[in-house]
Amino acid sequence: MATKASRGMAVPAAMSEGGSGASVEGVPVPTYEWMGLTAEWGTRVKPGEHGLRLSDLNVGIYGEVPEVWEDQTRRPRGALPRPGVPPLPYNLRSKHQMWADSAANLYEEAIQRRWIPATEVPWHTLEPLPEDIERAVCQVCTELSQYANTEIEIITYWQDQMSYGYYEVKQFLATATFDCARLIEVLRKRALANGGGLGVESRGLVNRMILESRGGWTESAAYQYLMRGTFTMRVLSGLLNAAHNDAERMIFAKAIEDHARHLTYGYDHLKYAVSHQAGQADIMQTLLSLGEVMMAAELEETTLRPALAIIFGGGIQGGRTVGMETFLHLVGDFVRDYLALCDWLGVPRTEMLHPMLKKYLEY
Amino acid sequence: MTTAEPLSVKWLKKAQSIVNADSSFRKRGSIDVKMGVRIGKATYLVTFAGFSCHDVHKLNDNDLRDADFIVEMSADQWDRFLAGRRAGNGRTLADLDTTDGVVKTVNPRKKLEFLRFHTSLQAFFDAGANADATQAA
Repeated sequence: MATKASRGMAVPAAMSEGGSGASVEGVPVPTYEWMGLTAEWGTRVKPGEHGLRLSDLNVGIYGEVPEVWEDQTRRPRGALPRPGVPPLPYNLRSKHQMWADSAANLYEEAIQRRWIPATEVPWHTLEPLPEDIERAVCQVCTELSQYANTEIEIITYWQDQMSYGYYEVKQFLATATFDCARLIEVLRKRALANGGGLGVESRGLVNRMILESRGGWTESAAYQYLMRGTFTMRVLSGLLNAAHNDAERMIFAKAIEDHARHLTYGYDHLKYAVSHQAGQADIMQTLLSLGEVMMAAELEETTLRPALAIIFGGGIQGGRTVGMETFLHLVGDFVRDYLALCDWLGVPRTEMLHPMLKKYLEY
Repeated sequence: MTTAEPLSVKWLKKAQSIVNADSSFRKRGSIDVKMGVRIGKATYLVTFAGFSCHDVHKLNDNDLRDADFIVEMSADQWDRFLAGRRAGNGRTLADLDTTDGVVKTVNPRKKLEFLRFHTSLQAFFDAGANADATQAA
């Protein structure tokens, strides 16, 4: 194909009206003016040993990720803008409001490490459990489903407002919502596949706190990932440890991998925000001091507490002793993780930790 | 394998060659991680990139910073871990870590490098454990 110069680049020349083929009567002749319009042409990204990844495409102007993306349209990064396109409400247009360097590769990881609950979980390994344990497992499935649909709702609320200049983040978050949908699917299947059913809805103090965080995605990410997500990882690990059969082992093993990707993005974003936006560390301190109150209150009253104790203790009897002790250790581990992460983020909380959370450090 | 050296480069390379020849390992998805393994006094670095295990070598303690995380067990723990996996009912690394803290990291963020890929890493150790069993039979 012939080429012509456009902004110094060699691009395909616009073809003459009618092109090389004969026109068909009654069919409009296509126009070709757009063919010469590009910001950068001649890009040839080669696949590496991982295949062709999103991050590999960050070459030339396509790899320029600006600190602020003023464009309020759906224009893909690197495409030419079209005058006259009305703005849309993309209110998050600064890199520090959503960025994490890991987002593009986490997107690829999510696509490559996907799994299929319908056929890959060995459902035939489910066996009847004592009723108290089955009820506890089902209650945990019920509450974790609510955790997952809260994550979907808060991501999609903000995703809608994220500008296309940071498309890697929007792409990754799309996989995170899919992961959450899969978690809801598999937990519902577990609850309904072994003689039980769903339990009671949780009061959802932290869910509400997450969903009502309206100061920006970074605020929501602090609650969703640093607080709730860090706790959830400990819960999933505890459930893997206490799994009753291979079906549960696979469910929680794979849920941990998915959740770890979400936390990787969440923690990396918070780190980016704190280190690239003046004053963000102070804002985080305020947010976390408020969030700790809700987290502590929920830990006191959540039905997850007795349900997990029963699972860890092998029944109601054991749930009163070793089961509750295990649960308290789990919460202690969560609080230690949380404090270590706050240190890593540059938002130390050890001295200011809410007393209702501090008490778990005894375990 | 001797009591003095419960794990060796040879053992790890065997696991490496098995998973690299196994299409089901690739199907688990890409894995990009540098795993330190310290059993007893000896330390090794196992590097995964893309869909395969790229490299295995012995490490000095000074080079441990190259690792994203370190799987650390006593010789006894390691033997029990392998025996359980060979028998088909043993605890996984992720499971063991919950109670015994066998995966060491400098902070909880680094622990995610293990948790994101733990089923692939388990497949690697299972490959080595099962090769032992096949050899012994």
